[in-house]
Amino acid sequence: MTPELAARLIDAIGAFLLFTMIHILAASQLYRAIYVVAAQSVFIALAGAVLGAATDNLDLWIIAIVTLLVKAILLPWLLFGVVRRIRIHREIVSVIPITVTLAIAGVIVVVAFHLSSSLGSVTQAITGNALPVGISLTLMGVLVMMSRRTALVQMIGLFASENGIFFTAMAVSQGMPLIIEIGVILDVILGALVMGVLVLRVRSSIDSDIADLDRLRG
Amino acid sequence: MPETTPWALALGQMALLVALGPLVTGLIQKLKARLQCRSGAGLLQPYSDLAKLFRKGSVRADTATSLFGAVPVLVLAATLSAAALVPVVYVAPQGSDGAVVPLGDAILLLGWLALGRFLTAAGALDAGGAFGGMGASREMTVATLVEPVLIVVAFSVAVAAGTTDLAGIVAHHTQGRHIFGAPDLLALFAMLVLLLAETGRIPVDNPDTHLELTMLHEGMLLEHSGPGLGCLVLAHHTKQIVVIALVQALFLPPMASSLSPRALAVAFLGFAGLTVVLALFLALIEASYAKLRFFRLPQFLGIGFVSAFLAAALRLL
Amino acid sequence: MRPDTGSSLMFAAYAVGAAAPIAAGWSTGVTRLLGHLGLLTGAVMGVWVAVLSLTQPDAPVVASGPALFPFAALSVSLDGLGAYFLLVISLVAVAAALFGPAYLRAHPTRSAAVEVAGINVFVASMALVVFAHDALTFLLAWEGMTLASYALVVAEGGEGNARAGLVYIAMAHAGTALLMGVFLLLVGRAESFDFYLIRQTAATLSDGERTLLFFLVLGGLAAKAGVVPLHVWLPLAHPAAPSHVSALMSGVMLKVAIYGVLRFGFDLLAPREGPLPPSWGWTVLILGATSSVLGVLYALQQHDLKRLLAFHSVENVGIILMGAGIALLLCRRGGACEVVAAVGLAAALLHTLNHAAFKGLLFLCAGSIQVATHLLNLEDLGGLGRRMPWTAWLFLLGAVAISALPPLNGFVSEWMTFQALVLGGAALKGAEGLAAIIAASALALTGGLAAACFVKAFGVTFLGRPRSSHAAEAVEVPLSMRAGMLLLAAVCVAVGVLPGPVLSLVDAPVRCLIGGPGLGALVTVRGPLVLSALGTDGGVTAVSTTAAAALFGALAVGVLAFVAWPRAAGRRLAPTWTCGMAPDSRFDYSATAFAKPLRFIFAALYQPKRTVERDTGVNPYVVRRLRWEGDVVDIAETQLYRRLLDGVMHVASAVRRRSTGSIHGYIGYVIGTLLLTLLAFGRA
Repeated sequence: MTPELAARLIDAIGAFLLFTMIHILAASQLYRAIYVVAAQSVFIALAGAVLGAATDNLDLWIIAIVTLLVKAILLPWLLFGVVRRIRIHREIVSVIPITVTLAIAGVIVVVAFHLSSSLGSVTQAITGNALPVGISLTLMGVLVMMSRRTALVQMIGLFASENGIFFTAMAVSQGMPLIIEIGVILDVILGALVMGVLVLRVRSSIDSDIADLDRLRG
Repeated sequence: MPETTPWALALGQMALLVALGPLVTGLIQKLKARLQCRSGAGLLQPYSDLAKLFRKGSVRADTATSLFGAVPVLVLAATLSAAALVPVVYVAPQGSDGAVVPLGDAILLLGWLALGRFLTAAGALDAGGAFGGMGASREMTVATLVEPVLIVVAFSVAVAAGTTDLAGIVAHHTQGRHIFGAPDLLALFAMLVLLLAETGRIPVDNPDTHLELTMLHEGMLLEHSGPGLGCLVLAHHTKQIVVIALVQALFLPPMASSLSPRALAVAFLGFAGLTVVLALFLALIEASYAKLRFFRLPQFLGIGFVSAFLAAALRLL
Repeated sequence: MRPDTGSSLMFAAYAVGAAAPIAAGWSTGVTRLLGHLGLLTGAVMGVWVAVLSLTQPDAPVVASGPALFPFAALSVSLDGLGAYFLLVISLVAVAAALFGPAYLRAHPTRSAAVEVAGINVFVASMALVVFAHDALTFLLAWEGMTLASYALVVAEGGEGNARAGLVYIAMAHAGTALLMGVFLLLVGRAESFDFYLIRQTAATLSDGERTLLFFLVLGGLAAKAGVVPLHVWLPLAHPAAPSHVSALMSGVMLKVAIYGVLRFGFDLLAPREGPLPPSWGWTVLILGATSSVLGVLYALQQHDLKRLLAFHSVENVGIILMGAGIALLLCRRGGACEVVAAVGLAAALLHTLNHAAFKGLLFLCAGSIQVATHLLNLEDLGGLGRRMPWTAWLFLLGAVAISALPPLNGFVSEWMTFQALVLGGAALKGAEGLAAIIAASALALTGGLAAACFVKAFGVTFLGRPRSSHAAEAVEVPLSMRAGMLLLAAVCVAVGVLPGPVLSLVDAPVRCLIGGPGLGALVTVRGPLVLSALGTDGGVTAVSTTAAAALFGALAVGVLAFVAWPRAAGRRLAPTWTCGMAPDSRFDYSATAFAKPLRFIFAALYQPKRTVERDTGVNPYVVRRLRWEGDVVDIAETQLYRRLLDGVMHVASAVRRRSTGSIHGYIGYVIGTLLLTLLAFGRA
């Protein structure tokens, strides 16, 4: 695989990632958000595979396969199980209106691309415009966490942020060292398990509203 | 005859689109039926429907003005004028001053489609009653939300090609000067969202219903009958294929490089193939999703707008 | 006849028209006729002078007036920009003069003298503003314009009109004060009132001073032009005036303010060489985009026809400012940017003419409806299409034109604005280019909203069943009124189908303001039937609205022949299906209902309030009476003006509490102020 072909493929995958991120931000149903974040993880795995093929780096292939297994298959399956078990409302409630969220997302992308021109020396030519896409994906994942009420959707935002971090790392240094990547994925699995336990145990409320945590003030 | 060839090309491609429009609708209906495990009507059913409508007499409301009879004529003329602007299989070589026959660019095409919508909505209010008013009100609202997205998509492609002329954009693509990158992908996604809105299909509108709360486009056609209704239905088929051809022209134009029959046949096969793919996409969406509640449409179209905005941002930044 | 003789005749005709009440004081009919005859003659002379000046620029009109004041002489001169605006003014004035007499006979105001003198002084002052070549003439004419229009706004009497007049004159004078301040600063620096010397002095100002002066003058002119948030007087004043005067105010007076913006931005305050400060262009562009979107959003929720049209004027002024803004941004930057600036400026100027034509037409149609039914609320009209066919078709033409739909004139200027924005975006690149593309999407949103609003206005007024007895008994208006409307409709169609010859008229003002090769080498390079826009990297977009309109016409004729062919099954009439009940006007969709989806979607901007009262009898499921009341708030009025007014009233009442009421105290204040003034200024 030639570097130019790899750059173009990663550019195209970046477009798919942005499109899936918009769907997560504008999703009004939980099932759709979970499907879309699984699809996003598939694209991340694909990007890792492409870069691994272009640079003959075995670590990237391993990360791609692990991402595919864990974030595209295992964790969404876990989340579906939680959703089915608790029978919560399928509707996603947000703190700010969806149109405002989409507007903020647009601003995030513009700022990320504007900044990346000054950070240009850090990226590698082989990864195209992966750096601004990665930064915007991370920030948009945090935006999802900020603007949604239920813990499940905030988990989805965390998954998307992690995808963004992986993409950014890929842009800057051909992926982080294998140990760190495995560590991050383990953290994500841990977070999902804790969230699952929390949601399943707190059955008194229809949906575990993180906003209610502010009653724990002193 | 170098002066008349471009006119003949434009009118010929217009006639091709008009002739194939009902076939595309028939194909979408057939695919949808198959996906829903029924056999469905034949592929040529829309042609039979049109022939029947053109033979019938017409019934007009007693409160209707002369506008009511003029609306189908003007709407069909506007849609046909739009069809003449989209390159289908061949683009004449551009002169240094732009197209040889400057019939119009992407903005004029959107203008003609908007004129058709305006007149249909005005005519819908003519017979009185609530069906027409409701359909017209909702259709104009959806049009308001769709137009900015269309403009941003068209302009993000035009900025790369240096012109808003569709023939120029197609030439830019086919002469290999254009690299299909992330901005084009995002613009294509936005255009696919718009395809659903402009062709009036689920999840924006249900083309098979006649309940007043679920009709957008059908509500405006309700009071027309006979040849007038036939003209409006033909205009709807033509608008659908024009938008499909527009998607192809903006992103993946299958153009012939010369006027030889072999090149034209190959280009036509390419056009037909892409049309079948888009028809399959429309049928899949129609069969898999339910119609969105009307006040959820701004969020749905908001996805399209943000995609188009990102396409423009990636193009310019 | 030479242009300067023509202009003298024009002003003389206006003077005769204004003096008509004195000449024919005994009869309102003769006064009206004579006054409007003077107006008509003056306006026709004006059109003639303007066209002559635009096509033969080497026959200029320059004259010095009498030295009425020891410090200043009045002087007039007509350059390309002035001639173009004179054309716009005079064109609508011709239509208003034709329309006026019959309208005023059916719908008279309190005094025919005011009607006639007022309108003549109004049009003459507007013409004098574009002729002015020194600050004093400009300010005198500006003030004359404001006072004459105020007299016409309050002419019909009544409390609502009085309040409208008060708000109008307060805001107009606030704007004039800013304008006067800027002029005085410049005159003080230049030590002369003459524009030529002011221009020389302004070329030596520092960038900061220049920008400060420009923003001050923009503030003053924006109040007159009706730019958001200084637009609150527009929807009050324009409906209050008689319809032909509203047509002049909306179609022409706002354009005189635009003339001021262009004159100051490109001519008087511009540096001698080098590009204009970018903050000017961005401010004007953003103001334009905001005005256009907010104007049309508020227009959608109005049910008084004239108020609806007044808000649309706010929208169209925004569109003109968008074209002017991109021209301010890109002019004098060399190469491709010059071309885009010329296209943008041409788009703004062409939209000035187009808006005057179709807005004038729509206001005159509203006047016809007023004469026929004495009603203007959409919810009381309906079914007028069958009783007033001429007005109906002319209103439809105006509606298609204002919605920027092909093949009429609104589409041509909007096409050029779109080209300027997209080519400007490509030329600017980066985040600024993205901002230009977003402005283009705002323009597209405006077009969609305007189309929705006019489907509502046309459909509810002219189609369906009449909702009141007045509407059921309407009669078509007399021929003279129709003549005025037909003239403007003809202009709409002509500019739409044959824009080339009209663009040759726009050539002179564009060359006057930004120099360069002129439109002949840019937009009409392929001849008068094709509009071209040259891109930055050699791409060319060419559109021929003539060819497109010809194709549309041919197809329409063909389809009509096919549809109208007699068929065996025949045609018949039948009542509309209304679920088995007798068809009634209550089944027709109302204007409020039509606008509801947009009211819901844009609720954040409208903050609509609604109250519903149900009157049920003994049985709570049977509703005897239902009352729905809804309100939409103008966001500028509540957030800005209420607070400002409250603050001013607070300060005023605080001051009032301090006033002693005794004469000794007031004399003491006078002595104190005199002492302070002597101390401060006596030292020089």
